[in-house]
Amino acid sequence: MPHYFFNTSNGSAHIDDAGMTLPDIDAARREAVRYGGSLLVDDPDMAMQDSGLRIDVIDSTGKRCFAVCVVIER
Amino acid sequence: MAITTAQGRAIGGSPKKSTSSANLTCVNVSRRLTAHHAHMTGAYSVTFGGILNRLLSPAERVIWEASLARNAREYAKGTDIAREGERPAALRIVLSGWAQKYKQLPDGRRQILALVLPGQPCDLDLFTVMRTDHSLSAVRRLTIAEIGRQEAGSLLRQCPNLAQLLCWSEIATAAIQREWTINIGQRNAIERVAQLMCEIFARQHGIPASGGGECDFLLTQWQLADATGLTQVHVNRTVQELRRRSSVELRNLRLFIPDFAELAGIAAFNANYLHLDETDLAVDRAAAMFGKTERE
Repeated sequence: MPHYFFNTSNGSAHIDDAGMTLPDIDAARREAVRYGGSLLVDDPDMAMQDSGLRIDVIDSTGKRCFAVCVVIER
Repeated sequence: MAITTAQGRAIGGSPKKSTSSANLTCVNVSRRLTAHHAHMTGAYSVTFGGILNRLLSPAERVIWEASLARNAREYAKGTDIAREGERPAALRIVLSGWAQKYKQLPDGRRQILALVLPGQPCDLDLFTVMRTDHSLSAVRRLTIAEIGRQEAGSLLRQCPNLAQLLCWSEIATAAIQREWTINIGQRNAIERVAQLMCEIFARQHGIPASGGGECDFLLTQWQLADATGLTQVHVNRTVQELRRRSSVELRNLRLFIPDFAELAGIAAFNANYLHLDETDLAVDRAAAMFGKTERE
């Protein structure tokens, strides 16, 4: 099963050095959204800092697969 | 599979219906009585050990600990000891290692409900319920006494103070369960993980008067996520943040807390629910309620 890393930038920067093994890319998308949700529950201001919360999902080869972003638009 | 008891007598087979998995390690370990003795006399599980020493008479303690040693079984890491829906088969007391109580939803999402540390009973549903409502598994290698219904009944008759001891343990377990509820319902990620670390430390060594210390911490970050209702990635992030803020380290199954008061502050941890200082009080209260049974 593939391994993915979930790095956050903007809102609250963090490099994920452990990652998570998941069945496929769809599971990684759900995990990223859930992780973002969990971060925002604790600290809603993350969506307002810098240019919003951004979670980049990286696979084990270092390739960026996708990003989940939460931004507030005026 | 043939396994050998302390007396050298070969006994066969998988000893319990509830543990049918083929790779299960389950042997009689009564020869290790001395090691367990140390645990049962309170070195590890602060409250229960203290209560045990005060509540059981010396004669009762001999009977109780002989029963624990006789019924000690070993389980490999991750093995299910009991599964939700089964008929309760034994009164179980953890002797070394940790057990986890858990429930799982049909799609595999899992919640760790509680951790049972050495010296503590797992479940007192043996005489009450038809089907157990949660599962129990070994966090890592585990030694646990599994006392069958008949022997447990006989122990309760032979050791009149044992019922009070088990009653106390249920009260303490329920108090911890309430704390876990507020943990998952109200605390944020860093408070949850910090709270669990404080609790695990205090249950092993009490509250340090100053500074901090280290203790066993057998959970993987995956299990820590299942216990705190966080995603694994969030737990990893949170553990790193605790390292940065309070120099807390999780390494080689040990937890290092340099400054307990600081971590307790981050967690909004209040040890009252562990009732650590109440051994004498609890014993007096039990004596008042149940009448004095000879203890010395």
